[in-house]
Amino acid sequence: MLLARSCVLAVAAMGISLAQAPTSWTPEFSLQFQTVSAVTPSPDGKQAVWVQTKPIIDTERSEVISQIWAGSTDGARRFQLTRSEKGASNPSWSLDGKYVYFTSDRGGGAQVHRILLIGGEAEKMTDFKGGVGTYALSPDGKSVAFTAHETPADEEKTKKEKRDFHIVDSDPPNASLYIAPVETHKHKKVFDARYHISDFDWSPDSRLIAFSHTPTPGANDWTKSDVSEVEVDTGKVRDIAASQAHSEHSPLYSPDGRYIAMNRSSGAPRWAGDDRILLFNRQTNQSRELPETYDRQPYLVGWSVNSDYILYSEAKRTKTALVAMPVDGPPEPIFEPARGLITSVKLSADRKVLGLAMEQTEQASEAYVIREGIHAPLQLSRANGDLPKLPLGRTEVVKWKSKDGLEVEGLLTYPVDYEKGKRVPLILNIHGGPTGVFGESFTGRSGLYPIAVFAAKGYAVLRPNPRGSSGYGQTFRFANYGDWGGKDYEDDQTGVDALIASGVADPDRLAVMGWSYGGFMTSWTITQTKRFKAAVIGAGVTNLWSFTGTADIAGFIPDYFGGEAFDNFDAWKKHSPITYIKGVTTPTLILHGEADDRVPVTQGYEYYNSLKRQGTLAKMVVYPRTPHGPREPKFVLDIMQRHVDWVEKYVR
Amino acid sequence: MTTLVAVLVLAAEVWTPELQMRTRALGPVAVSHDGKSAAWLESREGKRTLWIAGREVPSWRDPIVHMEFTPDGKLKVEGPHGYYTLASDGAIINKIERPGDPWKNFHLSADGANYAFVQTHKETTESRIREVGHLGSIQLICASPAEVNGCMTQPPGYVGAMSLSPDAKSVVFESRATPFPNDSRSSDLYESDLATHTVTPIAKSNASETQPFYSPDGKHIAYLRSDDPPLQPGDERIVLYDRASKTSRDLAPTVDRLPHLLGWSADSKKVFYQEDRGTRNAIYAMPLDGPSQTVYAPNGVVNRVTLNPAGTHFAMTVESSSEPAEVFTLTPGEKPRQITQTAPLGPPMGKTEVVWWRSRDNLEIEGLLTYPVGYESGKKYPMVMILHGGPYGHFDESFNGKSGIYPIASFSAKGYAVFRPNPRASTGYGRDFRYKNLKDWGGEDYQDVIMGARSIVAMGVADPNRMSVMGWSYGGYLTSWVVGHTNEFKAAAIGAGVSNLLSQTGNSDIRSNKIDAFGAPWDNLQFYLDRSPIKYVKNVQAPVLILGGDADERVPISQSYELYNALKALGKTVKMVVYPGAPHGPSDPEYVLDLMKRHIDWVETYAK
Repeated sequence: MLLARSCVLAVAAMGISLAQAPTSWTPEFSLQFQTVSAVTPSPDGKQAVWVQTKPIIDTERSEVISQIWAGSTDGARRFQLTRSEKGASNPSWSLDGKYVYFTSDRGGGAQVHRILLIGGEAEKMTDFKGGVGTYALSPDGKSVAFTAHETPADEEKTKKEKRDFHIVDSDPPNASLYIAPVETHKHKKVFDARYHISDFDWSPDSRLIAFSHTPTPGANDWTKSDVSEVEVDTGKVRDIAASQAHSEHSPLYSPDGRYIAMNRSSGAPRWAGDDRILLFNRQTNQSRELPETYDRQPYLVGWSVNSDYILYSEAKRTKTALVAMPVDGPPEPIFEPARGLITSVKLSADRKVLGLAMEQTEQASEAYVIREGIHAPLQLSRANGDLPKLPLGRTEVVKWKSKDGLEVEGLLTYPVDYEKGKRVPLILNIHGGPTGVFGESFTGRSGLYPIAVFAAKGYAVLRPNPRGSSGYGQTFRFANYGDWGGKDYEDDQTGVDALIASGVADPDRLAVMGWSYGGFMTSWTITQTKRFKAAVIGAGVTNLWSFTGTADIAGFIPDYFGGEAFDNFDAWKKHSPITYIKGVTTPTLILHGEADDRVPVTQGYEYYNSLKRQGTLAKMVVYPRTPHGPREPKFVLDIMQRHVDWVEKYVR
Repeated sequence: MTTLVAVLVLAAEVWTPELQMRTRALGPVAVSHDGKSAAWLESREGKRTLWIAGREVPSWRDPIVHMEFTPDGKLKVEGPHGYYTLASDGAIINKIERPGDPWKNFHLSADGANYAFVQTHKETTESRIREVGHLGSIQLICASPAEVNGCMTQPPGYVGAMSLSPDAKSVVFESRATPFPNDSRSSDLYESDLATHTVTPIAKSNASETQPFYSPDGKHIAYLRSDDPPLQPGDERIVLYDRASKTSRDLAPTVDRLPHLLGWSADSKKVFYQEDRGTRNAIYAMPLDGPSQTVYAPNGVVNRVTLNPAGTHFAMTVESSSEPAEVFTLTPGEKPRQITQTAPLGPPMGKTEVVWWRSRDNLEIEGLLTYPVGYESGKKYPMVMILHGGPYGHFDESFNGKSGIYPIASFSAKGYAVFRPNPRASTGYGRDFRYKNLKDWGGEDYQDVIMGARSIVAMGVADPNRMSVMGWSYGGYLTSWVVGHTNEFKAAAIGAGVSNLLSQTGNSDIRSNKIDAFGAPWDNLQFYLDRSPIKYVKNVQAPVLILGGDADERVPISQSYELYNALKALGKTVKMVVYPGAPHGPSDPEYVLDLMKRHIDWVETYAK
């Protein structure tokens, strides 16, 4: 939950244009790649739109811009639909397939717009001060529903007059549900909510909306999520799933209106995530749990046209699976790519065409469709096709036995032109979460860790999925409860041991790095072993105690460690890297965003200052305005380059 | 209509936070070479007025960093935009615009003909990405006549206080490794020849050498030297450096061993300094062959003390608990002369007296007790105990009606007794007293303050069922410690308080002070845990108000969040207010007013 896979992917969505093509992989080259997402087939399945995202860097700008592309689902034609400098995201189709709806922030926050597929000027469909959250067009095409937070009228005045002191936890920016008729654009609030509305779904008859809600939008409140349903005309609300004992979210109406499917925590909400699909029968008002899924973390995509199964996607080892869950179970596989990841899935309104974004370790992200009856995906986009083909290191899935005999898997990327039998320097890269997972994503993508650049410079990179990772089932994911730095640490280290034993890694040239929980594990690792010659800690948790007192997820560590610090302090002390910082000698680079609410920058300072005071070689770099996942392309580029430089200086 | 007016008049007759905000602030102040004219800046409700010899300078509205008179009676003023020379009628005679790079330490020679200053050049390619500890600037020492061409001397470190020799041929200055407070503990002194730009060490050791002053005859440099290594409580000695023999000798020790140097007497025979003494302070003179002599000991406190460049007269403000600050001038050996007589006394104020008691270990502790307005002997009143920061600070007899975080006069007007103890570690009680809690935070200092509160109960003034406690910084630390160790207080307000010594030491801009005093956390972790108020959070019964600025580098706001979130997780009554952009000491008037009002409201709600 610290930095789940989806966040890592969001951070990785970059590309930049350069005057000269390089001859070997560089961080700048990685920034040229675009990321494809939200591949959305038209209602009749003949067209699709998708989003292409790339970083824009010039003297003034450093931002990530998305544009909507459109094409026919036979792959024959494609064109860029939106061109506004501010970009466009979240595409969806009008019922007749003539319009594409999207959100764009052209001043005053993101608003819903629509544009004719044949082109022309975009038309603004909402005008909500401060912008809208999520939106959806009603199935009858008559209204746009959206979530939005009403900003206090005197906010700017208060700030100007320096009366902008605030009481912590008061006036959370709760979003309410609004409806704007397509004809008039004039929005009205559906009802006065006393909570935050996070996501919602229209009923097939456009009369009702089912929605998830939490007391506040704060990241700590997901455990209290419930699902309710509101009658759009009257604002009458009823509970659908409001159990105190569970967390319920992401409701989806079946096309026949009989059911609402949703996610529900298996038992009391746990921070490592453990969900079942719950089926609410709207006629009997009874709910039942469907059979468990492989990883117990299904992401619900949509219903089948006959309302007989729910399509979901789920992490499966280093890949992604698309699975159907019949209303009477058990799950049946639909599509599992032999290699690579599915990063986005959408169903057409007729539920006959699937839109997918996919990538592989040596192939950048592109848009695909799968048509009913044909299981081979057809590529629609050419987002990255024109870029030069620079050599990439081969990436393979490797397995080893941990100290206690558990099998652990990871991704090993070899140096470009690796000669078998030659020992090379090795970088151990540890993912966040701890419930993240290293999947078979494109190694050349722009992200915090430039895998392709390392491979081009002669390094092997090991990315283990130790116990605690997603993609290996509920038991594996929960196997590091109360044990951070214990067996999960051994899982990582035995992976390095295996590569030394197999003659790939040079034991005298090892580096370790990771972000978030990966930063925790990096800061932990160098207190336990001196075999790494360099370490880079990104937004790492270094002191569980002060972390929990300052993070936006106060419930996280108490769940993992069985109680609050004031009840179970010894466990917190035992598993905090700062407890063991005496005598650390590894040259350490610490990277942190100054606006990180998840792992506050104070965690970085605690570790850095303790190293400095002891005379250990350490450097800390702080990125202004930056949350837990750095986004500004200039910063992402700097982070990539610093990772390379630090390792080149101390490990090569 | 008449009724309304009557109500308004009545309303104005008690101290309130709003009224305290309107209390006039004075300073800086300056006195002429002949001692006959004074200049001062007055600030009231955001409006500043500069006065020269009793005349208002109508064109001046800026803050003033520093000002002093030239021998011929002109006023040299350092403002935010440059250096100005004003005639006695306030007309601007000369102006040196401040260039892009900031200047500091502007010094005028005694004859007014020469000057020196420090110029800081910031890196032009300022990256928005920040490498921690990277300076990004260099400094040059500049001297007249040519301001820019004269900037030739590159100091060995970061320049602090500086002094220009009487012949204007050299400067002596403090030099530190960096401008960061964590490195400021160790300062050395260097002298630079302004013609040759050579730099020579004057005092360079593990101790911290600071506040250098040339004697008017040019023979000596007086400065302060700390204990070795310098520790946070401070133990300072006045040292005399002989420029001919290049040797130093210690002058007689001062009473509190924490003097603040003011300058030399005109005859080069004495060094003037200011020092705390109990709940007051005083101006002293240290003859070269000691012992020290008292120059002026007010029945209250002196502030803003400046010695004129001739070394003949002082300008200062004087105030007491019940009397607002006024400008005075002082000629050593004579009575001070009151220059301003402008501040009204304001509404009635509770009497403030110095009280003392014995702590658990029998040590005598002092404090200030302000009675409620209209106090009746024998009647018990709710009491607010306020704890000061530092811990190396003290409560003094400054005016209770001034604006500040803790509105003493307003509490008194609302019927509260206000008790302000000076527990061990406070300044003004000597070196040994100040060092007593060096390794004992939350130990006997805690006993000092609760024994003090109980002594006010025993006096029959405080109602033991209606006591509250509040404090800022170390006072916030001690407040959170108090409510984790006793339930005698029914409400607490913790401002920028240290709650977790471990994470505080990893983050504060003065983190090394803790390590120097307590040992490093990695060598002595249990001590850090045991002395952290947050360890005792389960014991807290009092409703807690937590206050802090989110730009505080001394006690980062994360300390407040740690305590708040722990209290919240336990379901305790707690509220936290964050002041955007506010540093360790909030000074924005809107914030100060809000803080005063919130302190009163919290106490009125839970401990009235």
